[in-house]
Amino acid sequence: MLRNLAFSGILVLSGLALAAGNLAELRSAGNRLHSANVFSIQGSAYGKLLARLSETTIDRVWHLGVEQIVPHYMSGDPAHHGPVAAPAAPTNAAVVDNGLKPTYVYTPVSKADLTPIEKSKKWIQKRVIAQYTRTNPRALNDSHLATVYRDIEEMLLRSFKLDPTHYGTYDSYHLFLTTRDFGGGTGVSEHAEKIANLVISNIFKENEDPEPWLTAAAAASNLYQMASLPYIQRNEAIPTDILKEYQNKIGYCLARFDEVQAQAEKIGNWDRLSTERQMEIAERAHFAKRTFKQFEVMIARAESKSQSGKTEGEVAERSSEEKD
Amino acid sequence: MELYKLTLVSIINRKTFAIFAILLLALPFVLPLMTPWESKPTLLEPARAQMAWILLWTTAIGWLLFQGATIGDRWSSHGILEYFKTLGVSRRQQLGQMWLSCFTVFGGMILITFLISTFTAMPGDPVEARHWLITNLQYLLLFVLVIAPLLILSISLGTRFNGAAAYAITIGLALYGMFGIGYLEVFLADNRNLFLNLVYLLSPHYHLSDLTSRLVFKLGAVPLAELGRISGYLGGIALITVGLSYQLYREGK
Repeated sequence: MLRNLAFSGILVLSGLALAAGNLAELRSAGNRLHSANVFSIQGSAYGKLLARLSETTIDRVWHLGVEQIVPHYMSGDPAHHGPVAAPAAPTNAAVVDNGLKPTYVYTPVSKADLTPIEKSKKWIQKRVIAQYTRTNPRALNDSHLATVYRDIEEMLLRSFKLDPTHYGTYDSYHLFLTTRDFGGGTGVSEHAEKIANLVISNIFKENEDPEPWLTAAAAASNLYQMASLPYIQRNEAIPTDILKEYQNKIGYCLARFDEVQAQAEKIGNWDRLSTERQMEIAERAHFAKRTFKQFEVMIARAESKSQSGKTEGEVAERSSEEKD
Repeated sequence: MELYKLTLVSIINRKTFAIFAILLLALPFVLPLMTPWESKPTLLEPARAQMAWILLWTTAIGWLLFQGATIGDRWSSHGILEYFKTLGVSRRQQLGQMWLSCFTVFGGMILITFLISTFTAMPGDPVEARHWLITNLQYLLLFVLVIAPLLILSISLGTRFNGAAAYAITIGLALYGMFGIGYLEVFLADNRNLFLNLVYLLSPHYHLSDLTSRLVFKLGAVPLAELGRISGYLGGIALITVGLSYQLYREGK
């Protein structure tokens, strides 16, 4: 008995000494020990997958909590909205939908045309709709709504951490941070800036996948909007150097997108994407480039304004000299 | 080694190990294909290594610790351990033999993961490849330092309490050491509470053994001095666990 106890005692004591000594050294750097990313899910291929899958959850909470209607991906058609009928906006989650094409033009089919299997599926779908349809005549109160916003923001942050290079996760998180109605405000803009810079620095080494460069371009234009906001609020002209700085930054991202996309097409990576995905990326690139063109116009306008301001000043000086 | 043989035959007869072995072999190749890899095929290989290790952890926590807990419970309630005691097999030998039989089967699983992670995802660059091999060996060492003593704990808890309770305690400890401490750390970031900080320091920091990030982002091998510290710490925790398990062990119920 005593020998057993002594054996355990020696093990425990030597273990304690070993663990304590090494833990002290491990902690001496002053850093946190836990990475908060066990098994490295965040930022990995599985992170990308989970970030895309979480869109459906966020969409459900948004529709049930904020819009207070049955989510489109459940109802399948816009005719089955709850009491507060909203316009049928195509959401990302609708695209993720169970393989159905996101057609938003609802064409009622007469019951006789349906096969028994389709009829049965419709029956189940109706039960799902009933399960989520709001019957409470009162809407959510403000504090409850604020909690829903908070929940959505947390979910968006989680998806953002899982895949910081994804356009959807970054931009929707940014929107939430900067929109006052959703709980955003002045204090949050610094955080939004930090997030945007983080996105750009994360994407900077991307040489294989073109899509993240569009996310970087979106982050740069968000940074531009935040930088120009004070001038717009004061009703002043945005300084040319700010315009030029962001023209350079966004232009670089878009140029890199084109390069990497051409490369991906050459290697064959691009062809592996579905036509829908290719079109989605191309449309987004088109949109980004169209907004980017505005910089040229704005810079030209700002420069011509400052030129005319200068000549006006010179004329005024000269006329005052002439008077003398 | 009669108890070893008896336990090993019992594990093999139950056949549940086969399900996990098949999953360990197949899923590292199937699951990466479910990720959005199409536009970035270089994601596939690190994802394979990552899944191989995640599955090994899952098998260890889900299957191995359960085996240990139920075997400890069954052998002690059926009087098998008392019988071996009368044959002169000491407590230390009994615990060691049961542990070894579980680890014989699990060793095969570790080998599957090690081979998949090392050789089906190895980078082409020779310098990176060397780092990759060393990282995998380091991961193997740290993983065994965490899981092996937890198995001893689950067996000895099984001999004292029932299987379900023994399993719940060990799985709880493993999950707390891997994930729970992270939450505690966030909570303690701006908290100077002495008691909670002490709890944090006394917790088993099993998460230090998780080198998955080093594989996924090709960070390279852990420097030797640092590896020495981490394995020294985990080794210390292992000794404490074994010491306590030895006291908890009971031949009969």
